[in-house]
Amino acid sequence: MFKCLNVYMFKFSWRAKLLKKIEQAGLLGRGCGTFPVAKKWAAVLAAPGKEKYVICNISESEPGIFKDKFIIENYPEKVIDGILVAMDFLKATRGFIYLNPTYYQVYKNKLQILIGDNNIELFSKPAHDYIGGEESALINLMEGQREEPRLRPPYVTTQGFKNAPTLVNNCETFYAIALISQDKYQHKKFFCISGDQTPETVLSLPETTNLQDALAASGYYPTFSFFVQLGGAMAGECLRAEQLKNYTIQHASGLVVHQLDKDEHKLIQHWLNFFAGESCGKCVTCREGTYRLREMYAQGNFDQQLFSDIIFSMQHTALCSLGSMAVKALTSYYQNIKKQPLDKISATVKKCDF
Amino acid sequence: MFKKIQFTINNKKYFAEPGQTILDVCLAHNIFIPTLCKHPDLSIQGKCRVCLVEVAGQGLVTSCSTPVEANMKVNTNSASVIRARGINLEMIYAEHIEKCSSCIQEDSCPLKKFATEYNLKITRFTDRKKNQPLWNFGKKDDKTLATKIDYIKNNYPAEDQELRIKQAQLHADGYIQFDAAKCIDCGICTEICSHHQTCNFYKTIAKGSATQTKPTDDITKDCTNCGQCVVHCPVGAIQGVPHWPQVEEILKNKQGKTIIAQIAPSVRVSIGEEFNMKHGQVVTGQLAASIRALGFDAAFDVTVGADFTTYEEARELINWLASKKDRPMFTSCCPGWVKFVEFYYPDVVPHLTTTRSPQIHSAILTKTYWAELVKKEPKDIIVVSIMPCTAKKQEITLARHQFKTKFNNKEIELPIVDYVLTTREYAYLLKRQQIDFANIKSEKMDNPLGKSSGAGVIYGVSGGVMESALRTADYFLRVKKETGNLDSVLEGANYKLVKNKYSKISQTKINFAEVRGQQGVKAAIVKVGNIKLKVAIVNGLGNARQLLENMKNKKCNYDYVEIMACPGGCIGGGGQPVPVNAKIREQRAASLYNIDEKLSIRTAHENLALLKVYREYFHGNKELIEELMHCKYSFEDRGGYKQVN
Repeated sequence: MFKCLNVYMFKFSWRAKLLKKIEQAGLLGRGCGTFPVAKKWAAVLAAPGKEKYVICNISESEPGIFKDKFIIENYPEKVIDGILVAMDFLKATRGFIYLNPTYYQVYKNKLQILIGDNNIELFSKPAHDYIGGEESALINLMEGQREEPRLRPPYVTTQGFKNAPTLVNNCETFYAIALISQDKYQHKKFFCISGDQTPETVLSLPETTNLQDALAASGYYPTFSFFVQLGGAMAGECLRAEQLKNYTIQHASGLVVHQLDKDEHKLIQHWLNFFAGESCGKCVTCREGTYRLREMYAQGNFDQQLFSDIIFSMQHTALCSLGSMAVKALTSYYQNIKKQPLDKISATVKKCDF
Repeated sequence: MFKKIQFTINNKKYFAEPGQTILDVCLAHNIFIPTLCKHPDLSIQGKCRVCLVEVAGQGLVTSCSTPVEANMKVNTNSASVIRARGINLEMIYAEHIEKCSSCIQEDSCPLKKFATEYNLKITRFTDRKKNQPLWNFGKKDDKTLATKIDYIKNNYPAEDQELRIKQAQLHADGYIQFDAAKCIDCGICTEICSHHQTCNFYKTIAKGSATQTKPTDDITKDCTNCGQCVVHCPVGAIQGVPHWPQVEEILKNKQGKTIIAQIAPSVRVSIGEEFNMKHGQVVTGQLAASIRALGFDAAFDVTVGADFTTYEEARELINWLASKKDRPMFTSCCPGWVKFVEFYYPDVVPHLTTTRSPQIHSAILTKTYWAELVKKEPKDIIVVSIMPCTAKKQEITLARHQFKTKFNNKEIELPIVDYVLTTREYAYLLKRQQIDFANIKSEKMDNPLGKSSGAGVIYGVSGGVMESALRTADYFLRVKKETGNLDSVLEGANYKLVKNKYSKISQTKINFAEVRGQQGVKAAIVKVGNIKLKVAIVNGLGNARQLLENMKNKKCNYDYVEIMACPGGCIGGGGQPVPVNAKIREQRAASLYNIDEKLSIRTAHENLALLKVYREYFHGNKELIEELMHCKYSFEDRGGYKQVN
């Protein structure tokens, strides 16, 4: 009876209206997960718990992505507005902004002034790393535990910081929330473009823009043969120039341009080295997989079936998405650029030291 | 009332309770799924990625962490499962250096089993950890050892020096050994040490393939040698520092020594598991026979030592209750717990009973009372304890558990116990000597230190020490009421003989059911004699810490508290056979209570062998009893760890 009444009351509350607005805006998380924001907010709202927390994630650890930096440089007040809307929405008394160590040094004072009396705390960590972008690893860091992803379920929406329901969103998501709540949202998103002979550029474009148009809009459409990595210089998916018009900017935060004649082995070793160093070490698949791929590739002459078996395992059995992200560039490079099946990957042409 | 969830595994219909994982249901129906980092005692880790199954619509998932959903279609053996599981196992295998032929856990090693079962190609990767270090926890510094060796050279007769120097080196070598080259980074040791035992001695550092689980350098943390990491490690990377090689050597070449083995209460219900016998099978007779088959000169039973412990501890309890000393009195027969108190709660040390532990009692009587009986020099008797415990390796090296004896008019200091073998080490020794333990003909333990009461037997289970002490305290209180003091107790007066004289003295209670059970914390009010005692029984150091904190904050208070470091007490000890879980511990415990039920003598004060020692050896000499049966606590340094290779 009371439950019915509550549901009935909720329908007319400002929270329900805001949630409806977010849903209608079709806003997807602007980190790399692209999870529907309305769904996440509803889950945290519905999760039982006296205390709830809001965390703004400005980890931005993927090389080639720098739009969060652009946002806190230019629109920090909007981000804070968005966080406050979320805190209000969830009746959360404490909010947090996580900044990677580099950004923290540059922006902490500026943000602190803008935060003023609001109960939002800034925090960072001593050294930069990749896994900090993962929300449960971030929460572990906040709790003083080892920085590694948690097993799901439970999700952080129900059991996050201090085991309380926690909302973790990217800073651009909060920026968009601020616009939505002020009815100024225009279905635009930020998109980073960089790479070979391409200066770092951040554009604000309609979500439905395809990659070809986005690249053209930057004014740096390559005049040379090229391919791109959609989503960043490490975990980004490799696409041929002809494929660009089939993809929109909706599901990624940026692209990196590569010359088509780039040294294949250098590039692959670069990716493999990066992830072997950045795997958090928690699960076997990612810790050992990244290590073995790097080892085998560096040795040159390796068992191609074994190589593709490791990739298969990383794509399907790693504890968090870092496992599959770690081989995304490599696999898409072979599928889209080289047009070779995965079990024909070879490093025997020449060896190079990185 | 929850509705059961219907789903299918390999196209067959199954039902699950809400919250059950796929693995739970598979285990319940004997559908085999390999696991490494999943242990029923611990929370789900999800690190090893070998318990994979394929769920229609979701792809590959780890069955340990995936709750069953309605109409789920699970396949435990699809081509993808086999492919991914195989490669993950192979990568784990390449982390673990194979020293199988010298590994005492070879027979229980899941990695070895899976390698055969899944036909793993184990040579495609190089062993990436082969140069990783070996750490000994509690290893003494070179200076301490050098002092000890000098002492031996200056005081021991020449013919004993080689043996005693080797022994001193072993005793200085620490108690727990961590071989990082075998570690598969599953994190179980860290989980058990941090979350269950609250000692936080392990730490995981770095990331990627540099990730390493290692002992901490934090000087506010120390290892209590409880060995829970040892029994939970799936790949035998952690072990007690091995004493078996020296024992094997000395059995081969006795050098004129008399070598005694003494068996802890709980070993008789667990060692059978090492020889594929059922959990909790009682094998006391086989133990006695196997000890002789190995070449030991006598088989003594620590349960007798436990009766002495009970007798002294009950006496101490009654004196404590009559005094103005702060309560509670804590038991001190568990060396893991004692180390925990000494390191983490030094303020609580005065609350520990000064009564020594059963292994020490049994051994000290062997080297004094029995030595006199058989006319041997104490220095010529070597006592080897067979223990469910790794911390006992530390206990025997403590300064307070060395004793002085005269030889050729010169005083020499001897360890009371010379070596400690864990249950696993003893089983390994039997296997090495090809002794068919399962089929060996039962024999009896040796007298006079071979026959105990039921009270001594139940020492091996959490609550057993308490119950034994209560049985005897109940009797002592009546003696005190009747005669005004405990002098007749000190004199070893025979219960049955004085019964007519002190007609009202009789046992009122044997079974204290309220102190039994496997729960981590039990509290009860028990009636002994005419008084009501508030008691608590705790197992697991995390629970102990909680209790101490609660007492500090005055949330609770007790008169008498029994604490064991390991879950379930010694039956779940760090030296016991692997695997272990709550069900196995329960079966081992039930067997100990069963032995107790069946014995005609079930209280320490009725043990005739014990009363004889009090009458004929102690003669009511309080100083002698104090010297042999009690100890003084003194500060021991942090054990820490040292790299040994």
